[in-house]
Amino acid sequence: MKQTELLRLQLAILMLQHGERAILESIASLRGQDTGDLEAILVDIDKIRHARTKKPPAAKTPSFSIESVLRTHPEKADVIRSIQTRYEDKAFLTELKDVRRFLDRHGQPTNTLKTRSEAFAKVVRVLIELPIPELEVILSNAPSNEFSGLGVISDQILGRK
Amino acid sequence: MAVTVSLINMKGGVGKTTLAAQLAHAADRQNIRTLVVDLDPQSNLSQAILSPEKYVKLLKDKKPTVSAIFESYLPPSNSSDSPKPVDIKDVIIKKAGYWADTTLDLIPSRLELSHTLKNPTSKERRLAKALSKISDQYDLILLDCAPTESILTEAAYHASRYALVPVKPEFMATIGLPLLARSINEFKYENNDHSLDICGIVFNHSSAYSEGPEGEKSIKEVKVEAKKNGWNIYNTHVRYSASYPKAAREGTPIGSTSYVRWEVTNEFSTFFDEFLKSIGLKTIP
Repeated sequence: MKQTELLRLQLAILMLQHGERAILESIASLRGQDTGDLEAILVDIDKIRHARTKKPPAAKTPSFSIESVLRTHPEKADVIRSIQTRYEDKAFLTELKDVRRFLDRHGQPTNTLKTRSEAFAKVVRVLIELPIPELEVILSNAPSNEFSGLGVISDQILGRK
Repeated sequence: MAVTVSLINMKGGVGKTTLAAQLAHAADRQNIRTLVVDLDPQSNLSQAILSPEKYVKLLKDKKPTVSAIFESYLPPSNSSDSPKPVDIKDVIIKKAGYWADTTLDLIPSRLELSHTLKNPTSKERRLAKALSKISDQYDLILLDCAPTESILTEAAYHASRYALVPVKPEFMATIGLPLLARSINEFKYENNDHSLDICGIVFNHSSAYSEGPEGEKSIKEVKVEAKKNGWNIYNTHVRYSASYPKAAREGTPIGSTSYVRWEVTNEFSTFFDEFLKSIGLKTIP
């Protein structure tokens, strides 16, 4: 254990045993200071720490425009618009976890994703890089939210349709 | 030229298939050109790599599987009205891995592989011969074996340079280890021009029950046996996590499985590095 960690542990125990006020008064007495002076120093330290850790206001992200992305590859515009409709109808990447998986497979970070609708901007940026045959496969695939791994294998083994 | 490694243990339920799938994904992530071969008629590795949905599509499309290599022909199909000689390239599913830019290939299995088990005569070298035609296209070939001694195990030995042995630290599970050692020794005696070594034993805690005192006792016993026989034991254990069965269901690498704990991913990654070193492979940047 590091020296600072040990000190913090010992202080925590003392604070539990005697209370914060008693500890402050004892330190003030040892240093020959008034308790009020010591409290003022602690308040100043707290203010400095707070100023350091305060996050700057988040910059507003510009609203996403699918048209600006599609302009870069106009030949894919139609198929991607159709995929967008499927996405909005929850027929493609039906849940947020499916979106995460799709982006992860394409090497995109997913830890900041909060909602499925917000995530579409990222999805489009991946889609625009895919070849048209792959986009067409995405468009033709049935939604799989009712998917059961055991069910499909069981049906196949037992020859059920 | 690829290094070929069989995941093998004469005991079932020790986590061979889960480990094989995760090693394959980890190798793929690190740009190691990898081929995985499913040598179990239960086909769980094929399902874990492809996902059940894609695996069923493969069966419905009547795509050839590893069984065709052992039987040496492709049966008549929609594209051919008569049997055809089999080419291993017909059997490989390219880009079967998780990531969009994957280079992981798979030779899948199907239940019909059990016909090979029933009619095994003179088929034990066919897999090795087939793999020899494409081994220069890969860095790593992983073979996932069924847990009983059979033509399939022998075929895996013939094709392999190393055997990786997952051991579940429980008394009954550790008994598979001396059985495997005897089997490998017999193979080496009959094939003394063939180098086949155990690259290591990995403690694979495939259930939470193996992490108590019974597990510790079994680990000690295996270590004593390993020392007597000069077998390497990997320092990193693959500890039990519910994320492993979930990864198999989702067809994902452990690190991409939903809600996986960081330490689980980190531990597997450490084991993977140890495994690569033990077979003389390095990560490819």
